[in-house]
Amino acid sequence: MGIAVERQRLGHRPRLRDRRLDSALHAAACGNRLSTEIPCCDVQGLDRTCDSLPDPVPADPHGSHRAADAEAIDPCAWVDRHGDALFRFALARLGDRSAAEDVVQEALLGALQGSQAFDGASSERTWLTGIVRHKVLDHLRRSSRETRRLAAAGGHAASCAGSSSSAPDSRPAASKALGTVAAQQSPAPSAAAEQDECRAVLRRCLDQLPVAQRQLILLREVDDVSTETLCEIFSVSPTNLWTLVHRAKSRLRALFEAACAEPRSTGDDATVAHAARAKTHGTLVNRKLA
Amino acid sequence: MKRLLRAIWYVLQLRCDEAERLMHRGDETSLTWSERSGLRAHRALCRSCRSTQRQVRRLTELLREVDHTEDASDPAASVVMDAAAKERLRERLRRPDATA
Repeated sequence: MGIAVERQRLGHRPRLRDRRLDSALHAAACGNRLSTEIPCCDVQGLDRTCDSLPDPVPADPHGSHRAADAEAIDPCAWVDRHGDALFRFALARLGDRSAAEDVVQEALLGALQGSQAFDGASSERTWLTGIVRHKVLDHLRRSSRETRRLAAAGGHAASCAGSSSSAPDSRPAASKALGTVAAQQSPAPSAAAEQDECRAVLRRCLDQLPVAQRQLILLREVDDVSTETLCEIFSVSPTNLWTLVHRAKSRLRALFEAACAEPRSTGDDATVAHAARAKTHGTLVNRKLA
Repeated sequence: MKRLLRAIWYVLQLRCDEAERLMHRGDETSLTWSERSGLRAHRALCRSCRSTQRQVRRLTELLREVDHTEDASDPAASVVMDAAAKERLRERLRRPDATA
């Protein structure tokens, strides 16, 4: 019985991976939206794949291609070709350079160990980005667990010390999420802004958000991470999580509105408050987001 | 009947800021029946919230586009990994136990 279940499990794993690569291929073809194609329930399976590869790969018609690919793989070339992009991806979600470097290293090691699983169906960048995404989640879960453990063991002081020593900026606490916005110049686009300008403005607005809010938005809206995982990472109840999501998205929207509506605006709290009060439904933002 | 009355009460007392909070959940399946029907009814009645809903959706789409496109002219694209960190990473990947 147990063996049959195990066989069935092993038999399902390549299908899981194939499904991921199918979606990765689709994402590569479309140029974006990888995460929307991956169901959140796959996260655990993919984590297992990243952490414990190489795994028993059943005989399949692509086996010889995989072996040939594995021989051709040069991990040092990954660093040159994709290192910076993967680093930016991790940094946007973690907000801490050293943590982002660690995550990229973990991901590349995991990719190297599981390189036989890569059959070239998706681009190398897409494949590696998928692995980094799951390593980022692992890292956030770990730091959240560590923070909770220290808080339980040594009270508030130990909690603060632990969070500052492990990942100072990546601790996703609600109080931090509501911290100050880094004041930064953000030149607004002209009235005749095109899609590229919108993206550029939104990038700047994302940069102005506090780390925890940016983290939450990227994980929730872009990576489609499940509510349960987010609650675990941020150590909050689902209700509190929705409140944090609401605040983060409202703030982003307010910053975006401010950047679009006021050419000389800066990203400080006064601007955000003003933009929130303004409620400019009939302004340029409507035209941009319509 | 009780459900219907609850939904009607929910629509009557639902304010725009509460509706916006529900919209930000994105996935309507995570809402309760009364929240979902309340939100739909509120949207049907409130033009401003319909507009907000469109903006929230568009913002989410833009976010996905922004995250998955590399723009060389963007200052954020100039953020790179330190040369020393890259060298450390290469060293680590060259080690024999890297594939273990």
